[in-house]
Amino acid sequence: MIRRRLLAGFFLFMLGCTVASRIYDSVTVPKVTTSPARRKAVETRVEGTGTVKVKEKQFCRIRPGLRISRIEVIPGSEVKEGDPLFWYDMESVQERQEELQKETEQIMLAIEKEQISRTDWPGLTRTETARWELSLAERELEEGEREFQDILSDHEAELERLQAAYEDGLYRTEEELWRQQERDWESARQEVDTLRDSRDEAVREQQRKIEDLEEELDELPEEEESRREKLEKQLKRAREDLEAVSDSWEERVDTARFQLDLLDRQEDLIRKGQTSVQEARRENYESAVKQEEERLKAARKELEAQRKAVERARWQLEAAGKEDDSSRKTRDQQKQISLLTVKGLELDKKEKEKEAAMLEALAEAGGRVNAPRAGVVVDMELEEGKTSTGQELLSLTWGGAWFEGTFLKEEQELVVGDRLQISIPGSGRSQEAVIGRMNLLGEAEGVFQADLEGGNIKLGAVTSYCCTRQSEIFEKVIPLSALRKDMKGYYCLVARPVSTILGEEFRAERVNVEVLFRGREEAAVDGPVFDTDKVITGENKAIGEGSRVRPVSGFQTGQR
Amino acid sequence: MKRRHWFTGAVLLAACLLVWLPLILMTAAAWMPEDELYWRYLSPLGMGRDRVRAALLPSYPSLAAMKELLIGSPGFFAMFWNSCIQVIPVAAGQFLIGAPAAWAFARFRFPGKKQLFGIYVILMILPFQVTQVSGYLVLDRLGVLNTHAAMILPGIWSTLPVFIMTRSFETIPEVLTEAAYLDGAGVWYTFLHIGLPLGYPGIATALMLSFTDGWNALEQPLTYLKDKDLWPISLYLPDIARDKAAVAFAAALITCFLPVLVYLNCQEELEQGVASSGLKQ
Repeated sequence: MIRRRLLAGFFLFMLGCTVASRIYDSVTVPKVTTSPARRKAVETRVEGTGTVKVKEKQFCRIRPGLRISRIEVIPGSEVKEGDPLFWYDMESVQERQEELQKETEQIMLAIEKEQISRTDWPGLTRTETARWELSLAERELEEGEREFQDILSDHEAELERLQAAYEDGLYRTEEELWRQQERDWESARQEVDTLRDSRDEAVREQQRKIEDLEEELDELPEEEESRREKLEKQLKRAREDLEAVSDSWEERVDTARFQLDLLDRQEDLIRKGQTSVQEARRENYESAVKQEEERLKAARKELEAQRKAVERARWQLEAAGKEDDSSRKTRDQQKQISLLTVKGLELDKKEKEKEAAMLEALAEAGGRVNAPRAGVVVDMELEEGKTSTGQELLSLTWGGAWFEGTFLKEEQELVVGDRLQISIPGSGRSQEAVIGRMNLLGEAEGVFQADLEGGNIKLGAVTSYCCTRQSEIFEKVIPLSALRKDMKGYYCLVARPVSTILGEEFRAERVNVEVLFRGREEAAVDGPVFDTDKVITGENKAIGEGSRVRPVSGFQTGQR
Repeated sequence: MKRRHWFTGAVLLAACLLVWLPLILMTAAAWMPEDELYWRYLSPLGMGRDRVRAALLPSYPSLAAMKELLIGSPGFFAMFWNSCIQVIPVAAGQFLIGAPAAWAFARFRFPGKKQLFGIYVILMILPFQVTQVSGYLVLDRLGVLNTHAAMILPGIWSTLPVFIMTRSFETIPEVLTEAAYLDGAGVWYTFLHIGLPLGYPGIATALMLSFTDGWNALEQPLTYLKDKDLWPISLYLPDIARDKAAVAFAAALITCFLPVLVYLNCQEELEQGVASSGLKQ
């Protein structure tokens, strides 16, 4: 019996656990809200801040160099036409008047100086000078050519004379040479004969001396040894002297014979006209000819120089003509400049006179400056007691303003014509305006201007704006809450049914997407998201890829 | 004599412990925390090469696995009830269809009886893989694939229970049925009032074995059931994730409970039935 109870109890236990696990499962499985990807436009909302600025201004002229004695208005002051804006100091006005008087007189003096400087005085031009120099050079050239012709004819005559004198002198020299040659040769031959005879005589004398010594030596008895030795020594010396005398005389004879041979060769030279005298005459002739050539060459060079001088004089005449033309034009230009300077000075003079008249009027008004028209003072940079520089701003406006706002070019998009809702500070209301101008040249921010109508917002007010825009139509648009991002990029989780033990369940599958456009509440994406997919837009518990989920229509509390 | 009795008892006890060891280890593992389980059985789980540190009792007993299974695993119970849906009708169908068939084989004489019974025996000894394709085609033609009927119908017409019940009916003495007939009892009356009471052990044995066979079926559900929500509990353990090893041991323990309880309820009949199926009058 107990076994059956155990069996029944087991079934009951399993039944109870089944119910409990189902309940637990229904509690623990994250509930998610889903939305399909739709084909639609994405709504964007551009928000930012801007400033209300003046649309049109009239700037009052500030005279430089005048001290400000009193200021009647501040920025934002409303003025009527003719109301005083500020006062110039009268003392500085009078000082300025005196300065103007001096400046006017200086201008008149400068005009007079310019008129004087324009006066021309006649003189000799460079062309005239050059022309005179050219005529002079031409005359010198004519004279030089004539002189050259004379030199040329003299040169030819001199050359002929020199050649004739040379040839005549050469002939006469040859005859003299032959006569001298014959005398010299005869003299040389006699010298040779004399020397031969003297040699033979000297040799014979020495030989006799030797023969005498030999005979004496032969005849000398053997007992006289010392005498013999002495004689032998004398004999030896005599023989040596014979050789020396013979050699000496042979040398003299050879020398005389050599002189004779030279005279023989001299004959050949005379015959060929190559003697030193003939050479000297030829050199003298050639030197004279060369001198004549040099003289002609110098004359030709001088003539060439005179021709070049003429050419140079012509070029200088041409250059002088150009320089004179240039100088004339320069003078004309200087005259024109002077005229213009005079006109400019006259204009300055008129300006000074005009300023003097205005200062006169200002002095008559006691230094007071009035508002040119009714409006609101926008800029007032003048300070009491300070001398004006003329750069200070003093402007009035008479209505009309625009809203100037900025936006981030990379994240926000605005175009001309977009309608803005501009908040009216302190009222909780907004005013509509249309973007009329836009400047996109900035690095990060774009600037736009929208005309404001009605004057509901004060000038200078900083306030916010918003602009709602519709993008183009995208194929897959999902709520921003469905768009997730991690290290790998943008993705969304899609609840897709899977078959499990408990039947068909939904599991969160990761779908990587590329964000094409991001709006205020939705984003256009590109990726494998299908029309039938349930894109998870919210969950009551943290879920990830592969998590079991339970799509519901909505829940009270959510983490995202 | 008494000492010898004790010795025999000790040997048998040791043998029983050896047989029970896997069951004991599984029971201990079911109460282990996840970290201890990994530390002890890391290598068999294919997550390391460390040695196995088997324990008969957990070092740090934990109910986490049981809680996870019983509270946090609705799929386990879905499969448990699927098994019940598939196994109980099979047993009932076998009782309604198999028992009369077995009575006919045991008590009637008709042409082709032996051949028909021979075919039963052949079908009984054929493994499932042999009849898998033909069975699939038949179930497909019947249009019951991927339904509980795909598991129930083949089980109802299983041949093993008929064989066992036939053997059990054959042990009923002929004189009893003949006496009933002489007293005017009909065939169905005799079957219901004499056959079923006297053949109850065989019937219980057949149904018990059929229940166990269906409870442990693996190939049939994998072949015939496509949707996981129809799978029986026998496929829970192969399907469980590796990181839920402790839950797997707990699930194995719980899965064992029902066959054990059914066995305890039919223990006497099973023993008689097994004994009778092997006896001849």
